[in-house]
Amino acid sequence: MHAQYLDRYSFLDSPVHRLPPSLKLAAATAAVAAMAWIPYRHGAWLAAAAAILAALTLLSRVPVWFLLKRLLLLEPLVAGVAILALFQPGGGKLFLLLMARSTLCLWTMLLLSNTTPFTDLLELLRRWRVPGLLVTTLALMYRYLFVLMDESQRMRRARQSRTLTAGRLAQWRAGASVISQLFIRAGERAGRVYAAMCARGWT
Amino acid sequence: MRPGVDVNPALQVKRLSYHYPDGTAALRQVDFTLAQGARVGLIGPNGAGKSTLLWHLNGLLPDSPGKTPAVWIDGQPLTEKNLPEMRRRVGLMFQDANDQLFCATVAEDVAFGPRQLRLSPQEVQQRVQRSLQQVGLSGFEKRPPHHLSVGEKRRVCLAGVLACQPSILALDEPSSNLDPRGRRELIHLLAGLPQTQLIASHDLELIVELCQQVLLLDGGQIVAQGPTRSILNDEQLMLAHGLERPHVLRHAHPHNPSAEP
Repeated sequence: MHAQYLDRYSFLDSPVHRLPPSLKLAAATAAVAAMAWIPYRHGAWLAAAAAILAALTLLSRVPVWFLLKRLLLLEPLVAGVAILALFQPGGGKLFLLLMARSTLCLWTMLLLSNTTPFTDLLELLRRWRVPGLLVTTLALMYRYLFVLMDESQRMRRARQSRTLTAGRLAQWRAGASVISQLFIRAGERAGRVYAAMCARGWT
Repeated sequence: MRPGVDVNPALQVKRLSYHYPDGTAALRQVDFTLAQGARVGLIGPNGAGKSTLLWHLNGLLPDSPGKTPAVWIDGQPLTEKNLPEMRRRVGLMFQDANDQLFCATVAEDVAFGPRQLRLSPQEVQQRVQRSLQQVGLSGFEKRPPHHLSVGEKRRVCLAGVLACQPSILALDEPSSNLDPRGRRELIHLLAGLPQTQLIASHDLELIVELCQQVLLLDGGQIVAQGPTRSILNDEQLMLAHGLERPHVLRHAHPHNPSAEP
């Protein structure tokens, strides 16, 4: 199963990984807030932020190609919003600014999540008095992400093992059925997980 | 097991019936008693109603409790009002460990029950340490569940249940998907626990090893109950209910002098 390697880089050992999680979370949150706020005329600050992030990335030993891939995966969502800026007069500058800002924000968060184990972040949120239900939801999401990914992988493999013709259309159709099956199974599992929580006193 | 004999049974189930929402009968007039400290096997084919029965012991089913309580724990009826206390007393271990391990780390998961009991953080911490030690997983506190083997997951599940200090353990297929070593460790673990245990399993060899008594459930009804060896040796009965006479009872060998050929 490959899903368990999803968060493998957060368990590396580097100067960045060794920083206290509270410091990293506070700094990352502040950085994101600041970058979202910096106006265009102070664009040099964004360049400075990028330089700092680059230095931290190199120091953290998280592979650059890995971060780039993750960034590219998220970029279309950002671009979708930024493109709207092009439709107003003088939108070119705004577009660039939006793209730069959001890329830096994503980079910060990717770096945080790949240098700090998620469980440490959860513990921190709980200590910082973030509403318990929100932390519990995040914890459940993290936990079952892996279970669901394993399950979808098993289903995909089971389907592949019996896919004897290579028709593109048939493959797409089967892929869609895997997704719908996954929804159904996730729903059923949610019922059982809730029962397990109740069994240990959840109210 | 013998109604009317035990003065203070750990668990009594009286005329328990349950229908699934679609109307099919899942349990019909189930009636049995577990003596304090007994280890009893719950056997029967797939779909016999074993899991459904276990869910009732913990009050997870039925969704709305009936008027006449069917489940009695330590002489007290399980009702809507005392549900939290009864859930603490009956520790339920689910069939799929992934359903039961819903927290992000082992320590968090074991601490879940004690936290729900509103114990002090020190007491929670103590119980986590003690339970993990009991199942032989000290030092696993920080591990995320998806980095554990099946056997380790099972033991964390058990630790999470033990941390609530239950008097009864209801175990659903505890040995399924375990490798022989994991299964052996589990058997030793269960044999060493003082709690009254009801073990639902298809692993009949495990039942022979651990349980003095068995309940045979089929079609939602108890079709037989009594000493493990006499029931599991009844070839006709076993085959009629989708089971078989386990090999440990078939072959006499130095480890098992009591087998009847």
